[in-house]
Amino acid sequence: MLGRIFSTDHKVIGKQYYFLGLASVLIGLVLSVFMRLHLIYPDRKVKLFEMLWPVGAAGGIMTPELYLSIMTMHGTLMVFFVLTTVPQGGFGNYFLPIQIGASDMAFPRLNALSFWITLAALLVLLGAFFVPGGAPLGGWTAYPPLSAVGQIAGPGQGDGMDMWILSVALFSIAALLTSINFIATVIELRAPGMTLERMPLTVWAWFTTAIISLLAFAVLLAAGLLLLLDRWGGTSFFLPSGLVVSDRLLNHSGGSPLLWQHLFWFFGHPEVYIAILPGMGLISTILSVNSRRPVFGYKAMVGAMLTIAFLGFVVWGHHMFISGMSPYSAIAFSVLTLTVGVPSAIKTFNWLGTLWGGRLRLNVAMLFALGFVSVFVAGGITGVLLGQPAMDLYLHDTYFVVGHFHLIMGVAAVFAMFAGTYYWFPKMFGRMLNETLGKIHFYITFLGVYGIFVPMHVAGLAGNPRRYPDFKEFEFLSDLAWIHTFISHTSFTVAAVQLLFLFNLFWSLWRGARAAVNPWEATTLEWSVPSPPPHDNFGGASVTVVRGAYEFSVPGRESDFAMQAGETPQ
Amino acid sequence: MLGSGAMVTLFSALASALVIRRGLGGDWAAVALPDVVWLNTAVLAASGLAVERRRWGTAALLGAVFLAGQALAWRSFGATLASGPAAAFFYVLTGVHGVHVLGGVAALLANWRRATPGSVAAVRIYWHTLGGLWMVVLCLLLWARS
Repeated sequence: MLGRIFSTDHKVIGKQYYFLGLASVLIGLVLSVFMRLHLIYPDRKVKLFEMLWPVGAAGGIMTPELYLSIMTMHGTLMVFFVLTTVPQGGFGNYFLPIQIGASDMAFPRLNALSFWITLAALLVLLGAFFVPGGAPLGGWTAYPPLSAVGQIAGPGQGDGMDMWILSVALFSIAALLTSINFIATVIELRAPGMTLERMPLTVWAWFTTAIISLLAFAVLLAAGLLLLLDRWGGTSFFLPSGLVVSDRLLNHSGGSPLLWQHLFWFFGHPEVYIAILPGMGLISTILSVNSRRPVFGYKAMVGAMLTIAFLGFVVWGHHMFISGMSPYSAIAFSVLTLTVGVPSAIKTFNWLGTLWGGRLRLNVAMLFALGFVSVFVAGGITGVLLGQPAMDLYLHDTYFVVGHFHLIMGVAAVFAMFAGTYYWFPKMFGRMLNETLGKIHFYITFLGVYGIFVPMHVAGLAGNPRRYPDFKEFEFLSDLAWIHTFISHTSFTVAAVQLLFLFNLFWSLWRGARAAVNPWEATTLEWSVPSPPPHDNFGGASVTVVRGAYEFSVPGRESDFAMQAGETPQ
Repeated sequence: MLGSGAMVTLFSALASALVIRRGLGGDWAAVALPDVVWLNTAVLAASGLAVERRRWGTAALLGAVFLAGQALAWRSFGATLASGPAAAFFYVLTGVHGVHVLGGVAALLANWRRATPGSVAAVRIYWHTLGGLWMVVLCLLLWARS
């Protein structure tokens, strides 16, 4: 039993990451429902809040500080423990070795260590709810000076903030170890015949993502260390002179909060691509399999991914247009930011090219893949608007940005995870998910996310500021109350529909129809081995790869797909 | 090699923080580097040579001596962490470097017990990256001194 829990098998570790992400996403989802509830009923007494937070919600009414700490925890959980963890740690761990014909990752024990460090990071983060003062309230970006001065900046900025930094530092270390493992595995362990040009786009995506996280998380780790020293060591990296917080003059001098912003966003922007690139690789594969056509422009897809990865490191300044940066720097960052639109457009064009003239199979995985393309475009368009400094100055602290990043980063990546779940569940657990429940889940979620995040753009354009715990004091926002009522109720519906997904997931684990080896008639290596695969993936057989990853509907062939594996390994 | 990539980025982040922080305010108080760091530099260079000759035990011993020397440097350093940005960066840079050296010593000892072609290559790259990074750290600290 212990051997199975502390396994070094990449498939077990992949599932562990997946369920860690599932637990995190559920907590994050519940927190967002609490926020939406509070926003439309700020004065209503809610028993549940009081039970959960006797101090922060005394009498059942959420204090502004509690609202902010819930927001901070929602963001941190979602960005780190869901968007970063599931696509890369979960699916990547499970399928990367199988897809390249390896029996495990390059460093299996290091891999297990990474998972356990990630779990520790999650527990430390959740522990912040239980320390005196509660969870931090500085947002997932933890901007100094208020994140660096301790309890006087707010109840959660004391012990809670320390827990946050510790959690993020642990997470960074685990992410660094994982990325080293991923890169080494792709370089060293490919089966004979698995040339770079035959690698599935999922493998390219995990590989590229690993390179990004190797470079980005090291910077976050350095920034976290400096922040911790400002809090505990009496240093002044991020704290300026003459700072007065809560009527107290602080004994720091000469530092700059902007330094944190630069370091943080040098990590933070690439982080967006860490979340989305694995999804892009997976969506390419699912679209190809379910339209029975090869991926359109395979090499352009690889090139676009590498370009996005590179550009991701030179656009961090667009998160700081309102920080008072020189307009000349802003223009440089703006132009570079708009350049990201080029590889993104290449990818979208190629997805459409893959679908064009295909014989579409609209299973749930395919529906979520199509949904991904839809929200990626919808969320990306507004990115072009926000990339203009003049537009951003007005929109930056409004709901427009909330709508934008939730669509492009949150919903798109979550749709990729759903697509991945419906597509790979048969391989991971040997059983099929229920397609009817899945379709209900998809359609309500798909319409729902637009119902939530498009109105947020409208509210933002009307000047509705973000991060505010309630709007009742602001006369000019009273006309927007109906928008928030609509958003909240839509979000409750979408949240409820996720229960259907959970039911489907756990019911199918035990009761789902048995999965065949290759239910989707896909070509990559994982579909040549039993569902679920044996301990060393290929049962000791040596694998030879004889063709590319997407040979569908090749003229003159009898079958409309051809497996990558040379012989069926036994 | 990949670990080296992450280390180089980590130190790049700290170095850029130092350069920016120094340009920020008029509070940059110069601090003298303890003389023992020059001895430590020589010890680290010698351990690099030992690695090249596959003398893992010797290299690990020299690595440990380097760490002891750095601890001495911390003790004889004329300022505390909180006394100014230059002093703070001295502690941060040498501290982070020291933690990596500690890991390196463990790796050298592992090679001393049992070396495979893979581990030899990995440890060589890791150790020489640390040596190179030490030269960068030293230059930064010398520059921060003025």
